Amino acid sequence: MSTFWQRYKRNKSAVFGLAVIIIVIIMAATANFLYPFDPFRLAGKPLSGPGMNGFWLGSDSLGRDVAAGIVHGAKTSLLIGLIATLVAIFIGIVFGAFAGYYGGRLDDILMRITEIFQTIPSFIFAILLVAIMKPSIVSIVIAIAVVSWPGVARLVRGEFLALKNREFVQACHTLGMNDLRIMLREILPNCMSPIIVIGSLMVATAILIESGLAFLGLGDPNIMSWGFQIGAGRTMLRSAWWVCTFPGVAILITVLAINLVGEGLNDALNPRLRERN
Amino acid sequence: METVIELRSVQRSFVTEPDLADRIASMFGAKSSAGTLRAVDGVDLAIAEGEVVGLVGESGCGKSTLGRIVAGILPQDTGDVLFKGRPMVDKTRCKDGSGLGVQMIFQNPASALDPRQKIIDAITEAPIAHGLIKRSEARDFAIRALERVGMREDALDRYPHQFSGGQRQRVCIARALAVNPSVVVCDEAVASLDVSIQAQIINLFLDLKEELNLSYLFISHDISIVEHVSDRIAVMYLGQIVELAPTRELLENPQHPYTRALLAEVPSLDARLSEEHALTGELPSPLNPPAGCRFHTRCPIATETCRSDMPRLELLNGGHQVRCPVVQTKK
Repeated sequence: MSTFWQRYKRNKSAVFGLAVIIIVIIMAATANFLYPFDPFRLAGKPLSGPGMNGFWLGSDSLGRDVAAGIVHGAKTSLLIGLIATLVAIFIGIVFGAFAGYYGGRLDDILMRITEIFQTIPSFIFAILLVAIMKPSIVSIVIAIAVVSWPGVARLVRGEFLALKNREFVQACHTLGMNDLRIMLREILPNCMSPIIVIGSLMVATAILIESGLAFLGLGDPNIMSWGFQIGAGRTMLRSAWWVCTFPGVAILITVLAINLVGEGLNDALNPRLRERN
Repeated sequence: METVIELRSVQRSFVTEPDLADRIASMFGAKSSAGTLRAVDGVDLAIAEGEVVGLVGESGCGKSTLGRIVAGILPQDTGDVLFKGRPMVDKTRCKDGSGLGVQMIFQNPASALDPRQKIIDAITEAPIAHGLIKRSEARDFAIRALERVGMREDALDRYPHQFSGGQRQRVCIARALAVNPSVVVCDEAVASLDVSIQAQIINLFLDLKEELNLSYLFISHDISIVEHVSDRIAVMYLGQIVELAPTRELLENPQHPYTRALLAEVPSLDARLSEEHALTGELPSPLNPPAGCRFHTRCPIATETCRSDMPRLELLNGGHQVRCPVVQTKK
């Protein structure tokens, strides 16, 4: 663990990204403390500029506090990003593990299914799924997971294909361990590093998809989100720039930070690239 | 002596399946790269209790495949593998560990151990899974297993990468012996080790054999190692055993021209065999083995019949079997 941190630390931008993410997480965790009221509440004079009428980052056309929206929206973005990614990784591991380990016909079937999902443009597909299921936090998580698991499945399949013929796995066969045990206890732990890396990058993508959906009005109507704020403010971009600029910056910084962390994890966990610089 | 493992005309092929691009290419008349590789082609071999059989041959001759079939990693296509007179069973099915009579030691101990598993878990996982020991006894069991291969208790909670190659191979041996096998297949088990360590590991193999009455199938390309450990030596060429004899007999009185050539290539101060012609030419592609005797393309004494008829493995005298009609008729 300490050597892992040593390697991670070498990548300065990854450390910066981690710091930003920690700030966003603290922001999300203390949202109810910083702004202990509903972010949809009409808090004051509409369209106040930043710093006016007690609004740090201004207010929107209905007098909602933009700063409160950003703090509460962080909760939504992180939660959806994390849960959707976990669901996607779970589906991806199940598909990839069985396809890679057993190969043959099962592999063909599972990979053709994966390819069907991969050929559909993911954002359009997510819109379609949310529209069918009615916008809610659950349907958004499902939609994001459904469009993002194929990448994981392909990655896990590749790792399983490579690892199943390694000698330590063959040794387990001679020791009479069953397939499920070999898959879970021997192969999966050895392909966790690339899964963690791809997972961290998927969180960023999931946040972007969620924002996009909310921007188009397909977000959960009861939950404040960055995409929703941008969508609500886009018509007033020229007269009240702060309404969509600040949530936009929040998305930009968060996604960038997560990508930097993913990059750093990749450098630290991937032994083949370890000596890159 | 009782036979512990017996192979009866075991055969194993690998088919390279044509992929989509291949199939499209062959539709347009291109030559398909698909083919059948007979890695093991009709092998009969019996290993007695407490016996060490060496298996030598060039790389690509199918000796590793044969070892994996014996160890139950690969299934054979046809033929029988009998363990104590009974066909091998699906190892995962027998809960009491009775299907674990054959274990394997691999060439590279670094890749034969799970890099993320502590030594104690590597050794005790299978015995616990098969109910040979209880989880609470695992630590004592692992200590005893390590002592048997000359390692100390402090290795238990470390990871494979913290050990040297020789120590890792000792761990692999401890892991294989943890399920009380009768036969151990050693596939180039010392080839990746330093020469000084090789000797230690080989002596460990021999000590354990005496202590536990084990049988070994000792696979190697290095005759000088095999000769040191084996009671009998089998020489393999392109998936077939071409000569099988007690060690002394094989070394002093090699019959098959391939065996003679192999022995001639061993660097030696003894000039006895140096006049023999070393092997010329490459090993023919096993995808497309020559007709007749597999060896006739490189054989100095091949006759016309060798090119058309596949010779059989015939018994000469003193348990010496050879697959060559020329030397058989000479006798």
